Amino acid sequence: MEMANHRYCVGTILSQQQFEKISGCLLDLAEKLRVSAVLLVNSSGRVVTQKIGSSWKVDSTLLSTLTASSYAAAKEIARLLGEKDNFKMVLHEGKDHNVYVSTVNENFFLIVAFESGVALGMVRLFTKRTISQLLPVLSEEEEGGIRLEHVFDRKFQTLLGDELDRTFKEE
Amino acid sequence: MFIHWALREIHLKIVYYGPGLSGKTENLKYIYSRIDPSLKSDMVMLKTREDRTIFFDFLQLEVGNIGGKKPKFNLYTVPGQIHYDLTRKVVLNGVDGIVFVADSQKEMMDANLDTLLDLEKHLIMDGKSLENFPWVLQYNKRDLPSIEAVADMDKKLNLFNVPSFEAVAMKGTGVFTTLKEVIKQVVTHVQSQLEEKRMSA
Repeated sequence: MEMANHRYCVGTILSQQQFEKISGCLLDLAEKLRVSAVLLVNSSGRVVTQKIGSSWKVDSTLLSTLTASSYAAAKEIARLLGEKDNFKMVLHEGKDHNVYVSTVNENFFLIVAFESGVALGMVRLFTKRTISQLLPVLSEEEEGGIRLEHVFDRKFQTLLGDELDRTFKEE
Repeated sequence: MFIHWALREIHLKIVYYGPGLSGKTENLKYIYSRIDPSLKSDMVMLKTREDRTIFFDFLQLEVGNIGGKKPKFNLYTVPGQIHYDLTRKVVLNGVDGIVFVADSQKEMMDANLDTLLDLEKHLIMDGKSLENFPWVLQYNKRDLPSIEAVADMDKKLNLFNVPSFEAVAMKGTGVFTTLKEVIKQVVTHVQSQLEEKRMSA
């Protein structure tokens, strides 16, 4: 029972209200920094929300999946080195493009993709402010009126089974 | 599991686990080749120069709208070689269901069992266990000579009587059957956990 409570609690469900507040924070950050993209991602690599520039053509699903994995690997490296917590940030620095990854809390991190013209110091400063705004929103314990038993009811299982049979057909 | 209620998305993470060269990547390759492009992401394969998985393979699948909800299945493989132990731990983070891809060749039975125990070790470190976690077994490479009988593989590996399937992943045999079952196991597991929670409330 303890396991069930642990697995399906805060961080598992994101309500409409949380989504709107988070979107506002990310939009503010993206506009201030004029960066290519800002993404809030959960520890499994799923994009919660993103604010992207018009020239952004990158597949966010793949970016977030790869970043989440390299971020999790960095966490293990920190542990190997004896660092108490994870590294506070991970930076991928290129000639033209950079990706700055920063911890929000145990379940979420922020990805900021920016071009070389944007100062890293500014990115770090404003990202830190955004994280302090995001923390109370992400720790809201109410589930926005969502009841998991209504999400995963018997009807859902039946419909899903039918759809899986239709979609996943072997030759 | 992650539910993005504003978008009505339900994200589930399925990991293909098993010894080196048992056919985990082949499962994903087959799935990728058979799914409509509108329902899948690009497939990511992080490999060594020798074409072996060094970190993971990844593929995201959708099945459209299910009663107003959009389930998305994020499929990962782990690197099977023994020395990538920490990498497997990283990939297992947040896992909802596991496909254990066992190699049916007789000489691979020790490697299958060692890898299964390695999986259990990682699950226990994360407060889970094979005994009460959704997973299925796939006995792959059934087309090869010198393979172990299914009944014997069940005896050696199917310690908790989970669903098991014969497969030839390179040809696609058993691949979708396995995937459908692990998804079913995950949903059933969530439902039973919710039921337990309701009963204890």
